[in-house]
Parts: sequence; structure tokens; C-alpha cells
Amino acid sequence: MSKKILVVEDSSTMRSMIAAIIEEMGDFVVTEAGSGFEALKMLPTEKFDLIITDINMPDINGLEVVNFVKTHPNYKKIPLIIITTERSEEDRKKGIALGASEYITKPFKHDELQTVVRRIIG
Amino acid sequence: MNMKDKKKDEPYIEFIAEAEEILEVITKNLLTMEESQDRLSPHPDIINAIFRGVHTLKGIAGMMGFNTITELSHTLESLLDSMRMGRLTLTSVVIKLLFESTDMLRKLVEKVSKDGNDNIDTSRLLSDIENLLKKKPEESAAHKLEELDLDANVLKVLTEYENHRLEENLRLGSNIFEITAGFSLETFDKDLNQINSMVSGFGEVITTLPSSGASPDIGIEFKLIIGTKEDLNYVTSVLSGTNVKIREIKYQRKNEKIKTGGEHEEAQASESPSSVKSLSMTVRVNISRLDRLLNIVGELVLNKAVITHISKNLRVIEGFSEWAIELEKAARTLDKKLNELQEGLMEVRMVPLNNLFDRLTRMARKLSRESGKIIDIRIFGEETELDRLMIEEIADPLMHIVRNSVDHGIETQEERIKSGKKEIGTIKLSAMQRGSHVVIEVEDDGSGINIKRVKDIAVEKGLIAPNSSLTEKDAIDLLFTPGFSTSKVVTEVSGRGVGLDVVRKNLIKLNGMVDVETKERVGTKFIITLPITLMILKALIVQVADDIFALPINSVSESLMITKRDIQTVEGREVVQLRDKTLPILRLEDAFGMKSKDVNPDSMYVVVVGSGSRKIGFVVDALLGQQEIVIKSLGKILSGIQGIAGATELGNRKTVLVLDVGALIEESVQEYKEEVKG
Repeated sequence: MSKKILVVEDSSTMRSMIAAIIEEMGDFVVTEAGSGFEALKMLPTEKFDLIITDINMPDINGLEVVNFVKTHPNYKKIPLIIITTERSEEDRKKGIALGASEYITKPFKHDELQTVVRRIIG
Repeated sequence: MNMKDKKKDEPYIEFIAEAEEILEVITKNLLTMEESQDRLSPHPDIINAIFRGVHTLKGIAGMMGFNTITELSHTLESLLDSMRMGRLTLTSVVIKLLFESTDMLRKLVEKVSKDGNDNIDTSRLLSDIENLLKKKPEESAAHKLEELDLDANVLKVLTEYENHRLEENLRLGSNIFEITAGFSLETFDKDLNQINSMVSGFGEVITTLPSSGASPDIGIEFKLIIGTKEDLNYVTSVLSGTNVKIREIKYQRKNEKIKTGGEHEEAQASESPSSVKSLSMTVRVNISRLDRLLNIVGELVLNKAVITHISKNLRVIEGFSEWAIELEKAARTLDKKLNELQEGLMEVRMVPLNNLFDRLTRMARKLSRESGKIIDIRIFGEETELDRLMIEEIADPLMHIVRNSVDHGIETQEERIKSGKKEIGTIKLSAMQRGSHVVIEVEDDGSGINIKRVKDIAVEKGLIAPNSSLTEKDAIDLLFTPGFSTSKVVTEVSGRGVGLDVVRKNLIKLNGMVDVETKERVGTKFIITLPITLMILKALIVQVADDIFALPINSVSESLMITKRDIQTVEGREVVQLRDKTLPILRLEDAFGMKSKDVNPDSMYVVVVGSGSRKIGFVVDALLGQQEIVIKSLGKILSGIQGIAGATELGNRKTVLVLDVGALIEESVQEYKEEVKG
């Protein structure tokens, strides 16, 4: 069965690019969430194998998404990738400390993201 | 364009659409900043919103490989980051640069959409921004956040920016509170938004932290950290209606309230006196307080009517006429002052439509992206003001209409090209004030309403007989019939189970009207007419048999005097001729099952109500005059009565019923349709 990936990102362009890059890999199904809140609502509806989240979002930030998932009895086993920028080193460190498996820095190449995804759930 | 090219172009189109949207948000925030009293110390959310926009733009431009946009937004992002982190003070020079940069970004995005590249020289702008950044960062006093009595988890999840906002709140001597609340998984976003908007009335939400809470399968818990100048009592009282726990966050070590040192505070005060002043220039008031005041005014208006009535009666009593004249004069002055008071209060409740229009534009953009249509959204008259409550009430109906335009109105690009139209569809949102009404129009240059298709569907759904002939007007009426939807497939966009019938019903509730003009292949225009305010109405007082009714004058267009001979019967329905049109009439005594009095067949009155395609005449026995009324609700037991909006007291302390014009028109149209169908 294809593995399910939840992409949390408020920019629709970025979101569909990430989805396209992952879908290129063939064996993954991507669900898109346009905000942290949307992601929280989607979590109980499907069993995700991986979550990829942006940090800078309007309602709750990506670190809070990581913390929520990693402290939640039902989801704590889901690995997360955080999308950061070169500017936010502090945020990146915090994300990893909270339990994110990997980070990727914008802008990234197709194969960078694909490599990271494969490394975690390939 | 073959399929493959199209697929390749998709991120392109999406990039341009999102970039335009971002630039609009940035511009809007810049304008808000520019127009506000304290333009050099704007609300942190404004700077952060601009930062976030530039940040996202940089991210997507970087992914698309548009280097000039990436470079400019990167430099601009550094500037904004310094501002939001308090390292750079906002000056007029900075504001000017921000505007220039936004203009340049817009030019670059235009270039991309025209030529597919972003090759424009931006070096001067870049060096201007970089020069500003070279200035020495301002020192800001560090606060020991780890000494705060905060849950350790909270500090772990704060982004750098949120960290800074917490420090900044402490530096300015704000109180910090932790608000904890549990919600159901289904509704938490709405519930939380409600609390957020309450908090933003008196403080700043620094962060929102979700956690699984006690029942992780059905619920979710949130901790909000907020900063405010208000104290615990105030925060508790404002949030008293909600189910939250509130805790004040203090420094852990006793007797060492670090907050801000006295010296520093003074320095701060003399540094930016403008910000202190501006705080006192505006007040946020809960709308319910205004409602209470307005109700009192409403009651005073009634009292004034009593006084006028007494003075009229006194006048005819011998020996009192002089007093009566004095009393009347006093009543007139009272009337004038009451009007001023009422107008003042109304004015306070008025807010411009721009917020709502922005929301609609955003939604339309999102929908158009989702449906793959390219739509230009144009806005006119967004400065038009409307009562605050009214704006909330019309938001959903308007969203529905805009959704319809995107989904059913505007054609796909291919269809538009085929029919020789401009590739890009246009939706025009406009508002204007006309007297005591506001007219809001949603106009698209789409396919218009296809009458044949409307007919087919209505036949299919059993709403009309297969052989009935439909005029354009009938077709439009059908659109507003419950259970009607012309969409063949239920789409993500407008297939949400609410039809235009609900839209009309909601607008009627507000004493509003909705009208449609449509031309096949040219487009459709929805016209919504609303009274500016709901509370106090001018009413026409009419007599029907032995009863007196009040009719809101804003729904009355004229009144006619007719004789019995003027009434004709067309298709089993009574009509009169109104200039070149036939006007259906409704005898109110029939509508309410009253015994009709013998009326003079040579003088009957017809009050013409409604607008556009929905005009109807109410037959009444006498017109008694005009008066200001305050509508009161009928209470639970009587509130279900069709055709009655409420009750009001007239000056002579008589209670009369206020007619619900919209519902009466509706009812009469429905009945007529059923008769024809049957």
C-alpha cells in the first residue's frame, strides 16, 4: 500500500510543488493542509506515515505542530520533516530538539527532498 | 496548448496568482500602517504580516528560480526581520523604501507573467536597503524568560519571533497570561478564533500551543500566551462567557519583579510619546454595549412620541393651548437632539466594507485557483460603511454569491477563448450608498444564466410542469427556490448544500432585497440592497379593516389610490396596472384572515413594496401617516407567525404589528406558483 504523507504549508504554490515532487517518486500519496489547524483536523482522519511541515505559518507555527505530534499518544510515532530557511537557525534547532527527524532548507532541489523522504520512510 | 504544456504551466500560473495575492496583502498592511495615527510604531502584527508575505514570496520565487525576485525579497526580508525583532526603528525613510520595494516586486511579477523572466535591474533599491541594514542594531534589554513561571514546553516551541514578542511585552511592562481551554476536534478552530478575537480587543496573542489534552481521541487542548496592559480581573471578566482557565505568568523568584527597570521605562516614555498618545485616541467597545445605548435611545424616541401625542390632545382643551405649544416646542427640541444622539451612535457602529471585501477577494482567488479558472477580482466602493452587525450577517450570503460566480458564472479559459471573450474572467464587487440604503453588487462577465438549462432542471426536479413557458424573470425566481441548483456536479466550490434560497431568506431577514440581472454569454449581476441600519425604522402606518399595521418605509416604493374597477384578474390573480407594468396585489385582510370591512370601492389604497422583479401591492383601507418606530421582538410564542416581523408601540401607547414585507412577498409568490403548478 502506498504510504501517506501530510504536507503542512500555508503557501499554495509551495504546497503543490512539494506534493508534485513527492508524487514524482511514485509510491506516496500526499494530503495537503493549508495551515496548522487544518493539519490538526486531518490527523485523526487518516493514518499518516510522514508529516512535512513549514515553520512560519499564521495560526500555529510548525514547532507547535511537531510538539503536538510528538507528545500525542496517537501520533507520537509519526516522523516529521521541518521546512526551514537559512535565516531561522534557532527554529531549526528547536524543531530537531522537539523530535523532528530531519530538516530541509528552502529553496531545495527535487532530489534533496526526495532523498530525505526516502531516508525516513523509503 | 497541448496537455503536456499545460501541466508544465500550472506552477507558473499558481506562482503568479499567489504572488499577486501576497503583494496585495503587503500593500494593504502598508496602507494600514501609513494611515494609522501611530505610523511609526504600528501594531506588531502588521509588520509580521508584511514579513510573512515577503518571506513566502521569497520561498516560492526561490523554488521557481526567479532570482531577482528572490534576491530583492531576501534583502527586504532582512529589513523586515530587523524591524519585527526590534533591531531597527521604523522611520519615514523605511516606510518609503517598503513602498518602493513592493512596487518593484509587483513590476517583477508582472514581468514574469508577460515574459516568463524577472530580468529588471534592482541594484539601486538593493543598495538602499542594505545601507539601512548597516546601521548599528539597537540594543534591547534582554529578559530572562526562563525565570518566568511558564510551562517549560511553551518556551521550547516559541519561534524566534514569538520569543521576541514575549520579551517585548515584558519590556513594555505588559502582564502575561496563560489561557488554557479544551475543545472538540471538530470545532476547535472556530472556538479558538472566537477567543483570539476577544483577546485581540485588549492584548496580543503571543503564541497558540496545542496539546493532546485529557481525551486525545475526541478533544484537543490549547494554551494561549497573551500579553496585555490589563489585569487579571479584566481578562477574567472579558473571557467570562468562555470555558477557559486563566493564569497570570509571573517571575518565579519572589520580591524580584524584574519587569522593566524604572529608568528604562522613563526613557521609553520620552522616546516615543506619540505611541502613548495614540493609545488614547481610539477605544474598542463591545458591540453589545452600543446596542444597549441604542435601545435606550429607541425607548426615548417612543417617549417623545408620547409627549407629542399629549401635546396634540392638550391643544384642543381650552386654557391649555399655550402650554401645548410650549410642550410641542420642547418635544421638537428633544426630537432634534435624539436624532443627533441616534445618528452619533449609528455612526459609531458603522464600519467600512473593506474587510469583508478583502475576505471575499481572498476566497474568490483561492476558489479560482482551485477550479483552474483565471479571474480578475475588482473592488469598488469598499470604503462604504454599514452597520457592524449587518456586515457579519451578509458575509455568508455574499460568499455564496461570489462562489456561484466563480463556479457557475465564469467559464473555463478554453470556453472563454472559444466564445471570443477575454481569456481572464472578471468579478466586480462594488458597494455604494444610496440614501439610507447600501447597494452591494457582485457582477461577473461569465456565461450568464442559461434559461433553458434552468427550465430543464426545474422540470427534472418537479418544480414546474414540463410544458410551462418560462420568462427570464421566472427563471431567476426559480434559482431562489429551495432545492434548486443548476450545477450538474456537486463541486468543491459551491456544492455545499446551501442554495440561493437561503441567501435570499437571510437577506430578507435583514430587511434587504436581492435582485438578479443576467444576459446569456455576457454575465450576471447580483444586486443586494440593504438598509444601512436595522434598529430604528421609519414606518408607514396603515389601516386594514379594524387593525393598524406598520410597514417599514424602506421597503415601500410608492402608494397609489385606486378604485375597485382598476383591479383586474390575470391567471386567477388580482393585479392592477402600474404605469406600463402589471402589479400583483395582495389583500392584507385575506393574508391574515381578517374580516373585511365594507370599504369604499372608489378609494382603496395600494402600497407598492419590494423591488425589481419582486414588486407587489398591498391593498389597505387607509394610510395613517409616517412615524419612526423601534421594532421589538414578539417573544418566542408568537415569533413563528408568517408575515409579521415584530411589534412596535405608537405614540398613543398602542401596540401594533410590524409587517415582514419580504416574507409576505415570498409567501404570495409561492402560493401563486403552487396554484399555477396545481
